[in-house]
Amino acid sequence: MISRSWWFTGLAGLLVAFLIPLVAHWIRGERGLHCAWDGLEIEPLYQVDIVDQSGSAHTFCCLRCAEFWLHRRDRLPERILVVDEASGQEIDSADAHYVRSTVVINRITGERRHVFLHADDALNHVAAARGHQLLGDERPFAKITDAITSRRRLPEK
Amino acid sequence: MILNGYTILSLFLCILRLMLSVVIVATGWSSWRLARRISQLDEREAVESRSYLLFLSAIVLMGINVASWPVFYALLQSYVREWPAAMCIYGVTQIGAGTQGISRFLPGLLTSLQWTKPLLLFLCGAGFVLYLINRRTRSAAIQQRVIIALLFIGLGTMFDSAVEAAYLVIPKKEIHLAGGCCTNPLDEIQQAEKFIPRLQLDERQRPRLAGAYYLLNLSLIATLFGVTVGVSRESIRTWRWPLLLIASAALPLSLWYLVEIAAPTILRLPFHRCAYDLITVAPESMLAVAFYLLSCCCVGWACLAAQVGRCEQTAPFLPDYLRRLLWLALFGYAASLIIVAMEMLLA
Repeated sequence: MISRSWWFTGLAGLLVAFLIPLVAHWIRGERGLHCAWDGLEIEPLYQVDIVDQSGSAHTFCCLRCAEFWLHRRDRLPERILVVDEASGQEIDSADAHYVRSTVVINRITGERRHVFLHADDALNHVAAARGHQLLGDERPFAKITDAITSRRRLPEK
Repeated sequence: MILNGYTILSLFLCILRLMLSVVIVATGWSSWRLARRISQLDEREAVESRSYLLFLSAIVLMGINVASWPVFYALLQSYVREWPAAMCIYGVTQIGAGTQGISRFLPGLLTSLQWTKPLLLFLCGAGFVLYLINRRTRSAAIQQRVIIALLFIGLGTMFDSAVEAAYLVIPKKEIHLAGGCCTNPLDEIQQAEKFIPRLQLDERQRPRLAGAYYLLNLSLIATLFGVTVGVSRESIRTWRWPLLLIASAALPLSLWYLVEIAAPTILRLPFHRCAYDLITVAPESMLAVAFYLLSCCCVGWACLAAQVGRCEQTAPFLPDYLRRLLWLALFGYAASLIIVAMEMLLA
């Protein structure tokens, strides 16, 4: 038979197993800002924020991750915010000018699309980095942005 | 070949394991043949004197085999920094996939290594358990069976170290078929995509999988508790098949749960199914994996010992051995379940 000391040892081991995750979480503390899709650290200049209809914001490391995430969702988001690479200022995705160029901003996701608030900055980047401006349906979140805009207009009518 | 500290350490371990396994296979084979012959001639001393080297080398090899497993994952983790497109070990496992040249073998070699390492751990443990049982007998009653187990360990180690050495030596360079200027951007996107793991489970299937995981593992723990506490010495051996059946069903299900539900929840990345990330983000959760694998091995070792280690001389003490192994499995499963449940609650 298994002796009593073995059972006590086992129970002490289970208590330690219970405490290990608590201690590990306490030591680790809160994690910094990471992409909600692939967990990469976020570079503020290429950050994308999506506010869903419940009001909670989801942050992504690049446009690609945000697109993948949106593709998985059934409901339209409330807002999509991107960052103007020229000024670092957060802007609505509908107001942005997008450029696909040879400059890769994220080597893991392979993202090569850049965001600018002003058309001049976008065209400068097109010339400097052998890119081309994304227009119409080529624009990231094109259909979703249109749907959000038309939803906003509905109450006005 | 990516050359860093872990590559050199892994290569050194590979060479050491290969040399020891050659010694074990050669000595084991001649000892086994001699043991078969002298069972008729009654010259046991000759076999015993030869088996000291065999057992000592085998115990050293078992230790190195166990150590080589975490070193292998540390090596893969070190390659993440070396490969620009890889964000975690999953990315490293995809290097060479869909390419031309010798690097196309890399994913296959890695997959086989990920299977052979735990199998080798199981074999080493099984050999050690049989060796301990054999040591308690008066006249080394199951020595031939122990030697056969050691031969398997030697052959398994030879295969594993050869595959690992091949993986280390093959250049980690991806060669693609040449394409026109228009295919390059598409290729880049596809290349980036292949390094990121994706969820394969439907949202509606997740609660079912979680339910099945907890139900099966709790029933396994309850069965193990019942067997270690309530079953008599005589009948403990008869429980080996039901236990093996439940443990075999629980293992793939638990791995699936780890990848599809536990890892994305603990990592707080609901769409990222990658258990490898736990090594760096939540290393304590690896304890749950280690406890679980140890428990599976304990059930397997107990079943093997009940089947292979049984003879007239082992009958008086074998049930106690089995009970202790099952006791270890019981607490291992319970500890693993507690850690996973706590991690899920805290995430």
